[in-house]
Amino acid sequence: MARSVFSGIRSSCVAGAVPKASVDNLTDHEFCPMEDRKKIVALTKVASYRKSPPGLCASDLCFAAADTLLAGLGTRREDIDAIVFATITPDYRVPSTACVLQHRLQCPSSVIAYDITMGCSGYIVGLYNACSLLKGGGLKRVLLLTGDTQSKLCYEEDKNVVFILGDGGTATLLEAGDAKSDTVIEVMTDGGRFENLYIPAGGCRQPSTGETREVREQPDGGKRSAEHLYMNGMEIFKFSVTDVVKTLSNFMEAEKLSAENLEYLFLHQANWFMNDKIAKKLKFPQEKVPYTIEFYGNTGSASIPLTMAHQFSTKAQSGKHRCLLSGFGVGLSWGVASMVLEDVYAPPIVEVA
Amino acid sequence: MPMDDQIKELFATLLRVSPDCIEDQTSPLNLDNWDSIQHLIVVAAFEEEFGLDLDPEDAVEMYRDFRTFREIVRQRMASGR
Repeated sequence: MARSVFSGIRSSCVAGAVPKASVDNLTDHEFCPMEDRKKIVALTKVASYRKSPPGLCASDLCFAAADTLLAGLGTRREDIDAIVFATITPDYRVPSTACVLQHRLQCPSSVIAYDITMGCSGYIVGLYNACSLLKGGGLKRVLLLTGDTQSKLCYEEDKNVVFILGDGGTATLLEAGDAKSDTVIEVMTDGGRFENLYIPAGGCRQPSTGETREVREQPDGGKRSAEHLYMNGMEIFKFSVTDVVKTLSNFMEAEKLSAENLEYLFLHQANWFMNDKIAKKLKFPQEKVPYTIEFYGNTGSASIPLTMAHQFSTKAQSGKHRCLLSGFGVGLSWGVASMVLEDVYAPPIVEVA
Repeated sequence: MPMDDQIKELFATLLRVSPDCIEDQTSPLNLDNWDSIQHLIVVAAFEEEFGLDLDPEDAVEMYRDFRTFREIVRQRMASGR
């Protein structure tokens, strides 16, 4: 079982960045009847989200977040030992975008830098990697970047995804130290269900052709090509409210956590209806479950830290905050992390033009 | 109006089809308008209309066919959930 306990790690510094341009779910998407647009917004609570223009990538958003974070903290670039970048929207097929970011961020060539191809569970898997590097590898500071420009993966008239998926990037600095509380992380995987959320063509398994690029009406009512993101909405809903809830429940029981002794439950911002069901199943009151989905939509691997950055940049940052985090999505991959954030540093969310 | 008819009427209205089109065997496989997004919209509307707080497992099960949908709504109304 991939549940690990990491001691002494401080992970209380987080920053987020989003594109300046936004999409309004009511006034845009004219392909869909207004009545449906209103119902979808009421259900998902995604009134608008940020969309990157051509040329603006997840790495640019993460760079802006990291630059803001490191400048605000006064952390020297040469003191970074590793860059871990979780994304499903890299700059290139080769190389890892983390390598490009090492140079852009002016970090020394002595860093280890790599990508993790994970979407909505990317922050949890990224934390697991970062903590492992700190504890197993003896590193001092890891810069965890998570971000996606999922709007670039969707066909603009696929109503299954285009009302929800937005763009965002984040940076979290993790440091080895003498923090008294443990960070506990559990990650789960079920690749048997990967086809419920994936892009069928354009990779090595089914290379890009004229046919795979052709946009067609699909049996599920959506419209897209084989190189656009496909989501089986009901299967992902079922996965989220059963497998993810079960993992969270077991984790909470094992770690003696409850809605009473936790300050926040930071969930991947999937959609409001689903997250509300998950929070209710776990008996969390609404005030302990922060949402940013109404501003940014579902930003994939960025959604948890973006919500943390939003929450702590607008609320009290001092003191100790016991938090439970959960990300879930493509893979299928899901995970849970518990940690105590102390004297949080979270600058305001940056907008990138 | 009998409860079964009320459920069918609201269900059909939300999916913008005639109640005559709805039978016990009607399912997402044979009714184009009943897709996953519309399903969750319909579930949320039933929760609001009838004051229900359906379990997520119920919402998943209700996607099977109209008969299952109606029976779960009836059961939850009877149990006051």
